[in-house]
Amino acid sequence: MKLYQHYSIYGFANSYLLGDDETKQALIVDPGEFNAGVLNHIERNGYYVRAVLLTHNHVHHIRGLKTLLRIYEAEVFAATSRVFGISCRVVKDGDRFAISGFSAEAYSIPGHSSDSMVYRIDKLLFTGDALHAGVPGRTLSPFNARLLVERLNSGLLSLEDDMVVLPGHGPPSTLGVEKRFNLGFEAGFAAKVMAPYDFFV
Amino acid sequence: MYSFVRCVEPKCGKIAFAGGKACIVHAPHRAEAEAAALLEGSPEHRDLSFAGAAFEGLDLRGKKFYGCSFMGARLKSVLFTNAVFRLCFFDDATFDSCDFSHVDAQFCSFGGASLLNVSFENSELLHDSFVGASISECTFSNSNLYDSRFIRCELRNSDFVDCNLKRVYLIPSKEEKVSYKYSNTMESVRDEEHLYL
Repeated sequence: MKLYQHYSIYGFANSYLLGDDETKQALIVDPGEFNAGVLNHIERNGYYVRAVLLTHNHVHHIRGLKTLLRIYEAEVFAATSRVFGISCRVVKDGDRFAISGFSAEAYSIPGHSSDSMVYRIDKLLFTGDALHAGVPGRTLSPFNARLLVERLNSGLLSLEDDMVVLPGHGPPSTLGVEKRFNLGFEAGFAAKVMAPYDFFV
Repeated sequence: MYSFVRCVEPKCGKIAFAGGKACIVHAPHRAEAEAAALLEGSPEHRDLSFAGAAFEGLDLRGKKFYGCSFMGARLKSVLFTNAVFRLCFFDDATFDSCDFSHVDAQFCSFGGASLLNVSFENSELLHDSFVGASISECTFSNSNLYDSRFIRCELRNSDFVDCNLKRVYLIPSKEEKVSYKYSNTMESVRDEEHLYL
């Protein structure tokens, strides 16, 4: 198993390429950008992208999807049935499926967005914007912040401490560190989240 | 990414040590010494786990590490000067008098680590996590820390002089005698009210 991270300047988001050196099959998590650099990297390693996992459908995490699908015939996995008009295989909380030679498990962790998913592949947790290093994902209300923290608690925190957290933004982490130090798990964090105020509504 | 081959010992579940078959606890007696020789002997290391090992006085200057784990390791007087790190994990490791100056470390995690008298001067420390780390008598001066995170960490007697702090989360739980002289703190995140850029 080989893992590569790509940092996209558009939206400052992380994409991940997970490749199997024996089968040469690969999957991409959140193709926020799909440019010549990413393509060259895939081709240089002799991979063929068979699957795309979307953690949620915010544009800076999926903008490269159309380009990717022009080059590779890949199945798209997401919590929603269509993204950019592209049909997706819908995944739900607790679903287990095999993709590109890897076994994946999906966790529904809404809060940042209603369709937020976290994918577990072996010791890797692709957390999208549900969980970042040191902070939970951004939410638009105290209700969503509470929901997010509750779902993180019930869905992910029972997993082993040495799980690797690979978020949609920022540096990687491990689950053990997040359990101890993430600001979202501090008492009263959700109450501090201010609802956005729009002057012109 | 380091291999997720599990220890052969039944019910252990930990990651196998240094490309072997068992974790550091169940590895053969000389495994740590052999790992030290492996580290010093090869210019490049990929996908290896050195979790839980204790290394002292190693000279790893200019080595390249890709997808390696040093989680829970104890490193004393180890030289990583000019080293390159990508996707490496040092979570809960202990560093005493180590040198990371002039390193290029991107997308690495030092979460929960304890760092005493460690130099990260003149380094590229992009997208690195120091969440929950205890950082004492350390210097990050003249380094590029773009998009790194220092959340709920403890900073004591440490310097961030003339650093690039753009998009850096600097929300330590303790901060004593820390200098940010000539650094662009205005471009960093310093409080929970402005948590999301």
